[in-house]
Amino acid sequence: MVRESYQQQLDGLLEAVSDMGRRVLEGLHRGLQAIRDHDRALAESLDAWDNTIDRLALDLEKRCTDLLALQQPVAGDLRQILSAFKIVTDLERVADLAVNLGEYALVSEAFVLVPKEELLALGHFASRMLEDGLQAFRTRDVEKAREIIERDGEMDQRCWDLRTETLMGIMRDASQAHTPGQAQEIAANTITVLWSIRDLERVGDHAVNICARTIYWLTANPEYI
Amino acid sequence: MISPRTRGMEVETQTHEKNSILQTEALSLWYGRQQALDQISLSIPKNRVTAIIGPSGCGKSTFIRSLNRLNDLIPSVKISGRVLFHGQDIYAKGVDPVEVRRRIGMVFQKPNPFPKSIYENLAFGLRINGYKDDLDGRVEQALRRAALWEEVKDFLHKKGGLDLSGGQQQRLCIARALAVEPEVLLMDEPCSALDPIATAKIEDLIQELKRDYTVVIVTHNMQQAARVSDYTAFFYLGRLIEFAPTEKIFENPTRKETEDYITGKFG
Repeated sequence: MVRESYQQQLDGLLEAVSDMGRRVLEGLHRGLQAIRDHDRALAESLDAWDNTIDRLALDLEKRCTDLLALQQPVAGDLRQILSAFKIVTDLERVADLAVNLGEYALVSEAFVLVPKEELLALGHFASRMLEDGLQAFRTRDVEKAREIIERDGEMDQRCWDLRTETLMGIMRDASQAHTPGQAQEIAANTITVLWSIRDLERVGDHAVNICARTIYWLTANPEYI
Repeated sequence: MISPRTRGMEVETQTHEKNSILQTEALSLWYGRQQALDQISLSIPKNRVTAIIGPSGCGKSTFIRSLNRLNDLIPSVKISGRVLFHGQDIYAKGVDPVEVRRRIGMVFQKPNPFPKSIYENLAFGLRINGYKDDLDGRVEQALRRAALWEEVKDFLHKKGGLDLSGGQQQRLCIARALAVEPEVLLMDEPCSALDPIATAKIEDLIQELKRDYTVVIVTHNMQQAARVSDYTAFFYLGRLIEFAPTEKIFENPTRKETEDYITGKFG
């Protein structure tokens, strides 16, 4: 093996992106936990956490550009670095969505429109997609990546069902509003719930992107990108 | 040098280009008892740049030297197979190797101008190839094609070829090869002795040249192969491992040996 240090840098990049993924996953769990426990302190701690993720993303982007500029990678190495670069962006976006979840947790009583357990179950489905997607990336597992992409159909259906249920809830509750203040609160709660569903759907989409980039890296097949 | 042939190894040897100017058919070559090329079949497309890459000793230079019979000058060389130029075997009886080398020119790794004036570096080859008319015009045209005219036009007879910089000397050698109106230009690591600026000039020149000529270039510089060539052939241990459009070779090679080589995992 020649260019050993280069190979070590490539392996190191894979590990570092995987490590960023683990941290983002922790943040996503914290966002969901803040909703579950209506935990203000936990929700507010996500802002500072997001700053560390942003710095990490910048650091990893620099590692990618350094490798591109200094090593002039080709073929599988080039695809690995390009994929890592794109996956870092996906992970940084998921971190932003985790912060959003924390903010939604602060809206009082928002999650009475739908059973909170259903929203949390949706959150766990999305975070599982992300976790498995990261594992497929780290273990270079094309089959697993394909399987996760297929899961996105179920994710979308679950989001649609919960959205429908939320709308049913608002129609039911709106008819019982007696004052403009009550109506305003119902509207704010509804928007919060719909936003959380949308954000969880986007977590699933980012997991799909990670899998698509993993497949592209390992097979040069861009069809899922 | 060559291990027993692996059975069942399929190698793409054709391109999608309609016009192939040079083809080798099962070309093998030995230096004495040592085999250096093993049944190379390759179709070189016209007006395109084809790069030959591979680790040292893989047969790249031997291969392109076979394309204009330069290996004839080495007594121990034995060749089998065919090299077809416009469909005619250049090793067939009665073919004049001097004429082959006029139509298939060569530029070497180290610039090797004659110790004569710039003008004579070109005129000499023209005269011995029987060109008598308009030598001045032919010299100028060749120097223009090699992107050297503007830099040397004021002292064609006053300065010698060896007075030029390394990059200029190499372009002089390219002009010398072009002066006798070849169809194919073989380049054996033409930039390996040059600095990055001179290298960039030669690379730009190669892009210009392919309008009128077919270029085959041997290079150790993988980025150079990726930049300048339309097709790339990867040689290893005297065999052709993979031949494909350059972007395919550098973005998604079919064979693992190619990927391992171009990504620096061996070599």
